[in-house]
Amino acid sequence: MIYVLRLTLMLLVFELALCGYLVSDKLLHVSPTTPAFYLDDPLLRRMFEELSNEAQDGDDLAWQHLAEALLGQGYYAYAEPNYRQALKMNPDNVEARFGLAFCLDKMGRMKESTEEYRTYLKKETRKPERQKLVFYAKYAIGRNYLREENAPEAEKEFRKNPKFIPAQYQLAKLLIRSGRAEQALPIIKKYLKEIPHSLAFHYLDYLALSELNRPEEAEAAKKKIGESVYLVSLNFNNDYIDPFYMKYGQERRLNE
Amino acid sequence: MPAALRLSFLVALLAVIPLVTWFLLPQLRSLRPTAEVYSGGKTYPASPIKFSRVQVGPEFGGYPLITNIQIFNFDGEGTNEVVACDASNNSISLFSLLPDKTWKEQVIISDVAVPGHITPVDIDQDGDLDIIVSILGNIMPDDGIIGRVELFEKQGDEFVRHVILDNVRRVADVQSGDFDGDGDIDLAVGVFGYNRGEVLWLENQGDFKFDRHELLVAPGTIHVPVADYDSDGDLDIAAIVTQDEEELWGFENLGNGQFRNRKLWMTSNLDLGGAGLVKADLDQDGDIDLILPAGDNLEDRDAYPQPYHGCYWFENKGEWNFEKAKISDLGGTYAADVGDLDADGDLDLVLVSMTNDWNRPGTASVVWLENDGQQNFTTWQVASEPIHMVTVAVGDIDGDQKPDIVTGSMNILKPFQRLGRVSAWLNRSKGGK
Repeated sequence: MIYVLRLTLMLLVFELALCGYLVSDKLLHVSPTTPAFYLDDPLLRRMFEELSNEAQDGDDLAWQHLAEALLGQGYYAYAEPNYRQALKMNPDNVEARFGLAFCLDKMGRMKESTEEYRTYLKKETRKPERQKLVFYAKYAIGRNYLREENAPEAEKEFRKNPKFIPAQYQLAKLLIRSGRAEQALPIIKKYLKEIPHSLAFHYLDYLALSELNRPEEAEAAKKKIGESVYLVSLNFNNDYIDPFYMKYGQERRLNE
Repeated sequence: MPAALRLSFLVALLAVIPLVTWFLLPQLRSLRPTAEVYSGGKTYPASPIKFSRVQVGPEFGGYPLITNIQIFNFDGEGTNEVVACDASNNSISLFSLLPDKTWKEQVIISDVAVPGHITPVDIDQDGDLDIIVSILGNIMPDDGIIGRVELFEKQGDEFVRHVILDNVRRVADVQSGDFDGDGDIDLAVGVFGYNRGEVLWLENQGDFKFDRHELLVAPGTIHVPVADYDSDGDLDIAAIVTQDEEELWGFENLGNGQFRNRKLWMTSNLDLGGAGLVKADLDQDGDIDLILPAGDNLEDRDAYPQPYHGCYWFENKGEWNFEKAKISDLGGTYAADVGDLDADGDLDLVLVSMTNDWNRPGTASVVWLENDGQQNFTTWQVASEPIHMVTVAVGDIDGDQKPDIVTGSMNILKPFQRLGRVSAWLNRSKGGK
């Protein structure tokens, strides 16, 4: 009997330790960060609660999904700590890294954002499906420098992104604005050959030719502005956020 | 205790503990504090001048889209009236203060497709105020040729419509002045467009006919204030170009309808968000300065205040040199106006915000900047709601000779809360502050 009692007691101690661990783990767990105030969309509130519960007991991907849902609805400041938790659990989660950089970017914290974009680029394993993010990250670094009015650094960054047309547009524009329209023209002409109806490049062509005091050619370029269309998207913000926006809340219900 | 009883007790505990744990675990909440949430929103100390807020006009429904507010003496009698462009009703409304201190709204012009701005001017010089309406055609980004300039000629109690500029992209502003010195009133036009835009001047040919002249090809021109910026006796034009360009231009009047384009300032910050341009001799040194409210980031679905938002003063140093100074950091600053709010003899400023951090209650939507006389400004918060304000005018609207503040809200972004339409803050100061 004594052996049975001892065995039961041992089992009890083991069980207490295990349950104690589970309870303390839960009590010390990092809580997801979500807006506590009103939300215009009641579906969103439910969605955030579900994603929060999943994140609470989940892995880095669960935290990333919560952060993406918040980002998609414009809650940049609330997405940030959730991205940070995802990265704490898995520092190699490159999508969460990009998301964090983007949040900081949108909140005007350019230096921190640039740092995170750079970390993203270092850690990125260059999967073909994420090629777009690589272009975006390099472009966003250049844009951040522009926002800090650091044109020389921005120029360097745009030069490092030769295959991304918006970056080449920004480079050509910087060249024109800094009195180097002659250097901008080959870039402009190259892209006008590739995208003959690009409004953005026809506008730059007009600016460059005006700057170079070539009035007849400038006049012809100006005419082209009226005949061209907006084909080169210069701001990827909505392109990046749209999938998250569509995935949650009323938009998802509408799409269903 | 008998061993059997002890055993039963332990077995019972063995069963109960996991059950209780299983039941409790989902209910437990973390004891750790949640992460601190960053806010880029701005709040300021409460204004030492007391203002009382009133809603101008009747109760409203829906999501008002007021694009422009002006204070002037519309009927030439008594106190000033408030005139507003209402883009949700495609109309221009006149608000008059009744003797019982309520406000009466009267639609004076209707069927204007998204009015962006109004300009009162006696264009036919017959002694009454006509109204020029800058027509956007669409409040949302649109590169189509959908704008217009419509002139409403005052004839008795009626306004007669004349379309004086058509075949143009979205028009954001029209200002008046005799640019060619021929005695009649010409117009400067800011064609915002979207990806394409321009600055024009319209030469008055009489009989409500105008010839169109191009001054600049650039997208996103918002305002074109007219003044003698170089103090040479004729009227020049200034323009703020936004939409990734962020440039301040001056068009120097050379006489006989000729202008010289001068790029006065530009920034590489493509996200600055220039939102307007106001002329005023802020330092009262005898020349006209320019004031740039900056905080437009409507290109984002969810706009957020940025560290470079606020208000910039371009001090006129003569010879077309303007020196820039940042005088406010209000996030999402969308409009500015000037007035001596504290009656100390210098010019103060009032700013409104379109996109402060509205998720953080208490962030400022209306502030005033107190000028110490040396152009050092202290920002005082007037209100944190309503939110989403895009236009402001300063002037006495209740006849007490003290400048009041009137604002207009454009509710096109989240959160659709703390809505406003036309709101006024009546200046309750006694003498100074």
